[in-house]
Amino acid sequence: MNYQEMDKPLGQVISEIDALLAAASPGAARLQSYVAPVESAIPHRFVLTEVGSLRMALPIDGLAEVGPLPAITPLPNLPDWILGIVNVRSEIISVVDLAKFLDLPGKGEQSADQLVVLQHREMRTALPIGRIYGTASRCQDEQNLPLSPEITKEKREFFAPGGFQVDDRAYVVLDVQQVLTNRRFLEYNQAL
Amino acid sequence: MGESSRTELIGFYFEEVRAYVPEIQDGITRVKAGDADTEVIRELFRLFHNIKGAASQVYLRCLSEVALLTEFVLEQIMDKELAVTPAVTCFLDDSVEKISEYCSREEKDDRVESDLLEARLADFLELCTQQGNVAGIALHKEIAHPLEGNLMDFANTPAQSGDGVSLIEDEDAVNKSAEASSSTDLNDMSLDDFAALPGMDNEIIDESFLDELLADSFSQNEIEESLQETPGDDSAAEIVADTGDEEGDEVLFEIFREECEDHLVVISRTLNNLEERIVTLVEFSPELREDLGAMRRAVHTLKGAAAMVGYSQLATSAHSLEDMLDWLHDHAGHIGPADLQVMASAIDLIEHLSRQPHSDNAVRIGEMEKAIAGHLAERHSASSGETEGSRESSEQEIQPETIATMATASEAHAESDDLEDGAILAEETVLSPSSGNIRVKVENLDEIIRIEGELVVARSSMEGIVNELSLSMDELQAAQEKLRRIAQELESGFEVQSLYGFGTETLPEQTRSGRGSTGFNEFDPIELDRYSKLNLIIRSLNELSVDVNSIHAGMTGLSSELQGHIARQQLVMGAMQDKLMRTRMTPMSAVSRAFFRTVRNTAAQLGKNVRLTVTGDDVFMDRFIWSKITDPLMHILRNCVDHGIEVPTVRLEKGKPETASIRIEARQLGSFVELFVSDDGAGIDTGVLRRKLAAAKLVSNPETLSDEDLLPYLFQTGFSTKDEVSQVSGRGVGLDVVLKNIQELRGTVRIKTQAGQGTRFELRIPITLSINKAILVSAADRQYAIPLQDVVEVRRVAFSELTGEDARFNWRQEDLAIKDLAVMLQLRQSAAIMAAKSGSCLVLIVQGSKGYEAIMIDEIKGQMEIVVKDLGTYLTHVKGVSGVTILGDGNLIPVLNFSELGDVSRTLHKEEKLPSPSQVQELPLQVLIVDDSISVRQSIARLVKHQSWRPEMAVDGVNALEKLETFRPDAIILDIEMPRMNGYEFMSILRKNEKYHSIPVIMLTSRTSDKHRAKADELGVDFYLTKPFQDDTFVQLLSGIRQYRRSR
Repeated sequence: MNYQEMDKPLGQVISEIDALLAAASPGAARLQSYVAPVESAIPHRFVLTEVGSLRMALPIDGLAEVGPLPAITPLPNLPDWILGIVNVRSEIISVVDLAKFLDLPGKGEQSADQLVVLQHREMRTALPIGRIYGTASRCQDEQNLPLSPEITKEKREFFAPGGFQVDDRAYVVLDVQQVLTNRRFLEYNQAL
Repeated sequence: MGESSRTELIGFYFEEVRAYVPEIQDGITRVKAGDADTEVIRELFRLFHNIKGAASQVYLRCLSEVALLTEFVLEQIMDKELAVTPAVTCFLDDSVEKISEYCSREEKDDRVESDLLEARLADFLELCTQQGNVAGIALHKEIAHPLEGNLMDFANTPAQSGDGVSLIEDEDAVNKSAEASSSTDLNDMSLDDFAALPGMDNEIIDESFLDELLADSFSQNEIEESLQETPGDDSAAEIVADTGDEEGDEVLFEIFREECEDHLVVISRTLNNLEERIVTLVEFSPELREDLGAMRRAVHTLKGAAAMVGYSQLATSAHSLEDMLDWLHDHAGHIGPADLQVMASAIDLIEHLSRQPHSDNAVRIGEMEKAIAGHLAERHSASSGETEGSRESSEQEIQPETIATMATASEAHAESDDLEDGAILAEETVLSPSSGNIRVKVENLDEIIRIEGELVVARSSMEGIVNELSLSMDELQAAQEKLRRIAQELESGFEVQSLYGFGTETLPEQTRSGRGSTGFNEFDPIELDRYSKLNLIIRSLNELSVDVNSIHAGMTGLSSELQGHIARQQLVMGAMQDKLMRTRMTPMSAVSRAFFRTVRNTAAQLGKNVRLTVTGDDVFMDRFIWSKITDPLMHILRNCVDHGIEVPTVRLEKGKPETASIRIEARQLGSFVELFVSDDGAGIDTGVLRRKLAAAKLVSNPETLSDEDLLPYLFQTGFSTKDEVSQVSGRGVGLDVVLKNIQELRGTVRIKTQAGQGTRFELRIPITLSINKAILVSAADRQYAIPLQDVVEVRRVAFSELTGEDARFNWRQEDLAIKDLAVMLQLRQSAAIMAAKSGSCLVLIVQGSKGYEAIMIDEIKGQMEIVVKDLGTYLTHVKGVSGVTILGDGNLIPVLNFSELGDVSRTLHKEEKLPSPSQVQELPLQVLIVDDSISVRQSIARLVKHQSWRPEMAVDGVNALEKLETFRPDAIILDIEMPRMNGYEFMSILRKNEKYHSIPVIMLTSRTSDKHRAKADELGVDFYLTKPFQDDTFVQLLSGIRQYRRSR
């Protein structure tokens, strides 16, 4: 998919694709509608990427868009994990190096060429992303892989309790709301 | 009105008063016991106010005045103008007792009532004389004076025709006497104060009286307010603030009319609603009562506003209508068309009066009041004897009579003044097209300003395009010139060749010139022109050159026309922006009342006497700025009262006047407003400050600091000089917030103090936050915008001018240390002042938080119009950055706020905390692409841009060397075969040049042979890539170079 051409929110595009697929196999869709959905059995979609050296699944519900990374304009007097701001179709969005914020091992976002915009309520923050491995769909029941030891106790609040595997690679699930409402994250001026 | 119905109304009134008595007595008991707070006194005030108002309505004039006297005493207690002495409580007791006694009567008795007033007046005068209450003595004079008695008669018995005229005459007389007794006429102030006195309806106190009262204490140009409670209608309070002269009156009238219009809309809409629903006598439903309530509120507010601006006729009329609405709302069980008709007539009159408040309508008002009173009396008598079955008939009985009264009144009036009325009607029905005001919501105005800003930005990017267009036009002209020359050379060269060089071999290729060629062999080429195919191509080339020339000329014309249009747009948009900004401007008078209240309350709380003086009420600033600056100012005022001003006994000991003084002065200075808040208190004890600073470990050795350096510590978070925490201050929260708020507005604050003499806060605030012009500067290769109004001067400072280790220079007798903007913005770690090549550095003088600052920048990119946007939903506030502006090409430029930035860098310097290398923001990779193929250049440039890097393009080696003069790339992408200077030649020059030899070069070519590769290696090419290349490989290669740069 060409992300550059995509003006719609990612979630919308994916649900449209799902709708098309459902139309292609009407039997399956009908069958689905007869089964009462159970929360833990509803599949959630994720964008699979890498933050630092950690494979990370970003829930699509918490994403506003994915696109090419525009030029970042750095600002003074900010902690080093806030890289600056970007202009996405006349909207100013701040860019955060999540690996630095979470103090994750690995080399930060040096060869990033994509931008993932996280959203919780009105607040939008972008992460520069080097590579997107694809998307995956998992129910809550299927998110049962224990968190990797890299995620120490104090960092656990930023992730869902269980991760999952895709092509033999383990992914941790980022809790977007926890990141965007975290006190240290919001009181960035105190970090100076 | 029939005598019986009046008696009945009085009966009701007595009943109402009797109901108030226990509550009043209870309140007075609490006052006597000394446990009455302001609320209790306010409640007592309200009850007496009700008694007063209702008494005047039922024509119990003297009783109304008795209540007025009591109400006045209570008000003076609230304002601390009267102390609660036994004589005062005794007076209150007597008042309620006498009023209650009188109201226990079966019916009114004028003589008893008049005796009652006389007795109370005597007591009142005694009381006021005892306590030296000048206002009270004046009020006594006012009521006891026969002339004022006339006024009272008018106010309270408006049914008597002719009194309106006497009012005007009398007012004149009073005005004259006021003028005679006092040299200063302060019409505006009397109005102001009039607004401040709750419940003093204009039917009782007129302007002249207040003038007389106030003339001694206030001067013309300063608005002073002694510390008295002034609750009141804020909107009306704003109205009165500006008056003072005829022009002021006009403005006042306009504002009042505008407000009036709003209320009239509500009133007439409600009336229409009621008329639709009430076609016959109906019982009151909750909805009807609600509608009536809405109308009553609007009429009440209108009455208040009219009274405050001194339009007594309008206030009187509204008052009558309000009475009727009160009765209908609170007591009537049903409502019918007759009620509406009376209401409608009254509303018509009010509407007329609102447009012409000065016209003499006493007769009409009198008639209206009579009609309302009569109607009410009849309604009341009808409703008291009314049963379910007889409603219809009673309605029929009332209706004809009332309508007849109203009709007669209108007719009589129409006859008496037919012509005038016609003119009035004509004016009333037409909405004046050229004058008047329209209220616009602030957010709508903001939206218009925002859209205008977007337009300006759009125009700026268009300007950029036009500039580029004219550059292309210049290039086209050069190309066209070249084409013309080549065509000419070719033509002349070919002709010579064809004449002497081609010989006969060319003949078979000759084309025909009209007829056959073979027939002209006898001609020498000079004798006869013969045209070959090449000949024709040259000819068309020449023609093409001429065509291109004319197209170029046409395009040049269009381009300059476009530039003309843009220049015009620039002018118009500038004017529009200016006008829009002006519409947001608000005078200080809109907020100054809050300052009085703050000082009054704080002083009362702390038992201090303080007088606040405000000058510069007509200084204008953006509404938003006032709203942001009000809290800090109030905080400073509270601080002055609490920390600065001494208690009265101490002041007397020190030989200062008992009443302290705080002054707020505002003045406009260019695009800034300077606000000074000064008090005559004890000043800041710098000794205590030093001790506290040492105790709080904020400064290691405070003794070494000068007073000037010491005072800014008052703005430190968590710092207070006050030992004990009180409701007012001492918590150490406040001045830091004051500083933060002011800095966010791009303003500055300074403190000056003199022991024993007082303290002065000096604030400097830009009049608007909307920056529309900025200087674009660069520091460490990054661009920043600085609001034009923040820049005092731009100058180049020669190194020879600099002195001291911190590079100081003298500017306007001030010794300024140069700060490097790149260091302030953490773009480099140490100042690079001496690293500049030219022997001088470019310096901006700006107004920082601590006075003027000299900021070194790399260069000025230009001046431009900008629109400031906020930093998105996450970064709500970044110190030193007031927003960001988007350039026409989509690039973001941070807008700097030096009021904050200087502060931050100073803190950093003091703690010797330089940014760590990781905090130094990385610059984008800069790539020079050298290739003669435009497609290759563009495709690589696009790839580079996608990585957020910066590409620059050159068409050949020569061009690349030119570019290197101004552009320092981190990597060069180089082709081999290019005109003028090929890749190998360029490489050999590059590697020989000391300045450029370390720049990594990637050779990108379609030549795959080892020979080419070996030559490249020999010349020092770092990477050799062959076309076509993989995007990923290419990006990886450049990323590697970036890593390398970073590791260096």
